[in-house]
Amino acid sequence: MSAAAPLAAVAMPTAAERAAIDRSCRGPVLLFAFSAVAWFVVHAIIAVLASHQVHAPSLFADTPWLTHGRLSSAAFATLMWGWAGLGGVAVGLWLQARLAGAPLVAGWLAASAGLVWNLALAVGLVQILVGNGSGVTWLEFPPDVNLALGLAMVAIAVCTLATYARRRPGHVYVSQWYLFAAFLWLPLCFAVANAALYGGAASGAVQAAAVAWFGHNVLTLWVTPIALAALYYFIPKVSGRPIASYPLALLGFWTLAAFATWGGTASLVGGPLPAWVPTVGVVGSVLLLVPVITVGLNQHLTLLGAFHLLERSVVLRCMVIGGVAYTCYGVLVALLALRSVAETTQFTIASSGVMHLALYGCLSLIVIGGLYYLIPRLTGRAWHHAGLIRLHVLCTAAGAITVAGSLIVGGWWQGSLLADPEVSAAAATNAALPALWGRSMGVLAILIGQLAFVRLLWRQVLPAPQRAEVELPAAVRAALAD
Amino acid sequence: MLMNHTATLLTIVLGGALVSAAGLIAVPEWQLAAELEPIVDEASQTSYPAPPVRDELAFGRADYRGLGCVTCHTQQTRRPGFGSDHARGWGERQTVARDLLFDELPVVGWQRLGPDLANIGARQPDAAWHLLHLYDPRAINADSSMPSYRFLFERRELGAGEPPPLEALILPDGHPDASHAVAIVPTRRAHNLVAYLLSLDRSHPLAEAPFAPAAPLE
Repeated sequence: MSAAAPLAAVAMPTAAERAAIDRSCRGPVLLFAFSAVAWFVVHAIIAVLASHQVHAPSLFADTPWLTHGRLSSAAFATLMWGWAGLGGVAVGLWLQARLAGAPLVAGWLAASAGLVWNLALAVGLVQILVGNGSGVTWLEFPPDVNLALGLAMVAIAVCTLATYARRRPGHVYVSQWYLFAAFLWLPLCFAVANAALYGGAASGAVQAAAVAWFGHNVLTLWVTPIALAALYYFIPKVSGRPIASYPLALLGFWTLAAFATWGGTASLVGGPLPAWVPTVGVVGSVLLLVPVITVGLNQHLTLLGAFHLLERSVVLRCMVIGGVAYTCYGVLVALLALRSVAETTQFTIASSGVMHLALYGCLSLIVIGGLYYLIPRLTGRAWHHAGLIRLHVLCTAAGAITVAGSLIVGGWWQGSLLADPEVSAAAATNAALPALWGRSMGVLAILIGQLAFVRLLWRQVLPAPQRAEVELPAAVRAALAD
Repeated sequence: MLMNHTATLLTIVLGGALVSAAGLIAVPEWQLAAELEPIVDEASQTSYPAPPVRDELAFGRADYRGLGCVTCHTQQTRRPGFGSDHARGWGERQTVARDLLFDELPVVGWQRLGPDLANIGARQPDAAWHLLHLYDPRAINADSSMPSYRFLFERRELGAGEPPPLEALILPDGHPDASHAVAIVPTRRAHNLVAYLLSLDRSHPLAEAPFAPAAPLE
């Protein structure tokens, strides 16, 4: 089961073949990548406004489409389906073709799915703002928008699985398991949740269980696996070291699929379902520790003795921060599922902090790292400004840590105050206001970072100005080298 | 190589997700469908929970969802002894599946920046209070960080000496919007939303969730 032995048997693609593979995914991947970043900016603007409203509750009081509840729903929806959805697909499509050693199959279908997806997002955002949102977290769009999104997901799954089927014979990489799984899990979970809400598959309280199941699994089976696929590719690729332990990777993947999928209903502890439902959820959430620890350990062992490479490679820096965020995310999911902890943290802002740790911390950093690697290979242009790259990564990482950290710490504080019935709900919320202010600052940092990224991406598509390109420092050139 | 077989991979991937969906969604649905029905009171010919009708409550509930009230309010009371919900007077008993029998598209929520609303109709049965609170929450509680829903109200200019209409809000003295020249009149939407909030009352006793010993109301 050594990682090196099967590699020898695989005919590696030549440089020319690699270029052909990159050409095959150029259109769809750039479409997904650029629109994902645009939606991340839209998300961050909405999220800054929504977060600030908690401090200025009369802001926009005369404007129904800017009321806090709608902006919050819109912020969640654009983060999940705009940035995390499109961005994950961008990196995932490219990885799928690169790892299969074969051109992307039916790139036109993926590109069409990207257009439908973007159109659905635009319609969905307007629908939320005019008051037709469902109010269900991660499923805020009205059902017809979900149908369009779901069809796009299925089309993308078809493209990626067909590409996987054309892979070169021999070893299947760890990243390929996660890609295979994530591209199937996304439409599957989305279909199940929509069937439960709109298709009559569940009613009343069970719909709440379905929402909890989906809320957990959209993070555990799409957001983090697509990030892990990139992690398992880029860390060995950039560091030049093979994955430390193949059996450990196997254990992590199997336990994720078999046990961690059961974790969602832990959030319903003390809630309106039969007691066994949240209890199973607690067990599933605690078992998430196994995949999380194996992934963390595996990446750590892979990089052991090579941490100096972090100074040289921005891609590696993004991957390591994202990987650490994944470990923290998993540990916190397990911790907050425990009844004794949930008694304090349930219904506080801490849950939002953990979600943002997965989305801002894990997925965002890893997708951004992946985009820094793959976009120059698709456009044929080097990044033009090392300072903007540093600003982007620094702002995103600092923003992610600030948002997640202040919400989790603030949530604990809020929950501790709420435990005392003498403290009013308003007083507990007010005590958490510094944490919510921290959230506003963190989201603002993320917005600034993404604007720097937009500036960088601008120069990837527009013709360069007449003056000479800025000479890249050796460190950045090295990081971008194949 | 175990993972080189697409069939193995497909089985674990589809199996993992579908089995958990079956276990956590289909099985509870089957269990509850067999167990739950409304409790009918023969004498008054009423049932708890009441089957939904297409009336102002339905419009109010749709607005509750569309305005995103779920962002900051739950509608699930935790059981006595688990958290302080009961001690705060938010509910005599835990919210159970039977309470949600007719709740399509759950609004049970997951985050509280404001209080739980599972029993708000019983805790605060005064419609005028709710209307003023929606217009300006800080007119009632200076500490509140709830948004103002001024767009649910109409500003009506009054002629000299013209009395305000009966349904106009009565703003507290010194409120910045209190004026003899302008009346703040709730729209149909505001009334529907308040009717929905007033309908939120789960104080009906149920065998599966007995009342806890009385606690003082907050």
